Parts: sequence; C-alpha cells; structure tokens
Amino acid sequence: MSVQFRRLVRRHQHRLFSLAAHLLGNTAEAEDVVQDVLVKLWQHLSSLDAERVRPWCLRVTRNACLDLLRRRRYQMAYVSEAVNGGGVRVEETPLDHLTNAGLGQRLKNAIGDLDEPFRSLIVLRELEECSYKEIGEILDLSDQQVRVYLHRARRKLRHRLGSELDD
Amino acid sequence: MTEKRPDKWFDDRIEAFVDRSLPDNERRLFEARLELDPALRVEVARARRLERTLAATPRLRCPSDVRRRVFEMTSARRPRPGRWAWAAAGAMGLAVAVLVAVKGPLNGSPSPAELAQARADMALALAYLDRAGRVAGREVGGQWVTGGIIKPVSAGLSLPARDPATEAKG
Repeated sequence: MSVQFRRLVRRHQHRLFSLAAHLLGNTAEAEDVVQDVLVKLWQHLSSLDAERVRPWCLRVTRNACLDLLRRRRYQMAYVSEAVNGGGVRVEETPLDHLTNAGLGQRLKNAIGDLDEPFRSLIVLRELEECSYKEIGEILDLSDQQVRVYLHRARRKLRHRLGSELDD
Repeated sequence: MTEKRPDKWFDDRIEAFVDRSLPDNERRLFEARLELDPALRVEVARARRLERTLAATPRLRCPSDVRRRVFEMTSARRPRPGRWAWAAAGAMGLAVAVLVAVKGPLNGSPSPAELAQARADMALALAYLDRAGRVAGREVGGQWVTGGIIKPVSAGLSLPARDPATEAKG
C-alpha cells in the first residue's frame, strides 16, 4: 500500500471523523462514513493534487453525511416511536433537557438542530478551524457568503441557547 | 416572560462586532448604542460566551479500528488508474503498433530508412512509456505499478533484439 496514502489517512482521519460525528450526532455512523470516504480517497488518489486532498475529503464526507441524514429523516417518517440508540436524537423532551446537563451538550444539540448549510459552517469553521476559502470550496460559497452565513449561524445558536449562555 | 431583545439592526451585527469584522462606521454606531442599551450588552456577552464555548469544544478522535479497516480494504484493491496510467496505456499501444509495423507479416522487407524510422518511433514511444510509468509510480506510491502493467521501461522491459540478417539484407 502506498506510503503516501497511509500518511494522508493519518493526517485527515480525525478531522473527517469529527466532521461526520458532529453532522450526524452519531459516532458509529461517523465511523462508517469515514471508512467509505478514505476508501474513495484511495481510489481517486492519482487524480487529486496534493493541496486538493483535504477539501475533497471534507466535501465528500459532508455529502455522505447529508445523504445519510436525508435517508434517516425518510425512515423516521415511518417510525412511530423514537429510537434513541447510538446517540440519534429525535425530539428533546423536558427530561432529556435536564439529563443533557452542561452547556457543551446543549450547544451540541443546538448545532444538530441547525439547518444546512449553517450546521456545516459552524462545524467546519468553529470546530474544525477551516479557513473561509476552504469552507467556500467545500460548500460552493463565496468568501463573502461564508462570512455572512457564519454570522447568521452563530446568531441562530445564540438565540436558541438564550439565557443558557449567561455566565 | 419574554426577554427584551435589542433592535434588529444591532442584533444582526452582534457576531460581526464580536469577531471585529464590522466596518468602522457601523462599529462606532454599535459602540455608542452599547453604552445605552443593557439588552444589547447582554446579547454581546452571550455571543462572546458562545464563541468561547465553541472554541473549547473537544475535538473528536477517530477510533484506530477505522484506520485498520481502511488499510485492510485498500491493501486488497488497486486504485483507479490515474491520467498517467492512461498515458502509459496509450504509449504502450503506440509501442505495440510500432512493433507490428516493424515486425509484422504485411511488411516483410522494410527498407533501411523505414527501419531507422521505426527504431526512432520505438525509442520515442518507449521514452513516453518510461516517463509515464515513473510518474504513475510516484502518484500511487509504486505499489502496483512496479510489479504490474506499467512499470518503467528502464526497470526491465527489453527492446526488441536487432536482427543482423535483416539489416544485412537491407
């Protein structure tokens, strides 16, 4: 196996996993997504320039997560009872709210409730520390759109969390 | 009881104010309002807390199992051929065509000029093939290339032997 491929896997695996886990809210599914993305990377490696590898991986990971979320929503429409295994959060009850103690957890839930592309923007910029340029490339947005949407995403989180953000 | 929110114009600019990306004129207006509006001050403090909490969110680490599975799966597969592999295949085709032209049954008695031209064509084709093999080898890490179909010519592909009898006849 290519030494270059092994190096790329080691370099990008955690970032891809973190993106997938934050978008999906589920680490088991995130593992599957990352595995598929890295195998795809192996298959396409010869056609990718070195500097394009990271945005390519992040974009493919995000698309795979969105596909999975769409499928999950479709399936959930036919499931009457909430399935709570593996971290899939359907609808938060007051009891869940009390149980999910800590601002960090509530923030995670609030991020999970954001619509696209706001959720991806927050995860890519705030958690994965991608540059505006890179985010624009991944999400097909201009630099200016990235900035504006990012402010909007943070505002949504601030409104959503409200007084929970008070010191 | 609902909280009093700042005016929308100011509320829309809180995040830009916090990350210092407001234009100067808007920033001055915002700061003046901040002095007078306690609701705006509360929201700015919340925006800052949100920023800190996001920054403090722990990064997730990919379990090592995933890497192991990926390495297992890819060690049993070949990657898709890249553009240099296709170039190598093209060069290989050209080399075969030249071989057929030189040695084929339809051209049994080539003239010395034709032979020389054919050798030159062959050398050119093999040079392309060699370069393509080397580049493709670099691109995919030399794993399947060096033992496979597009290994560099200089790594072992032999040129057709000259036939002194044919040359003497010519």
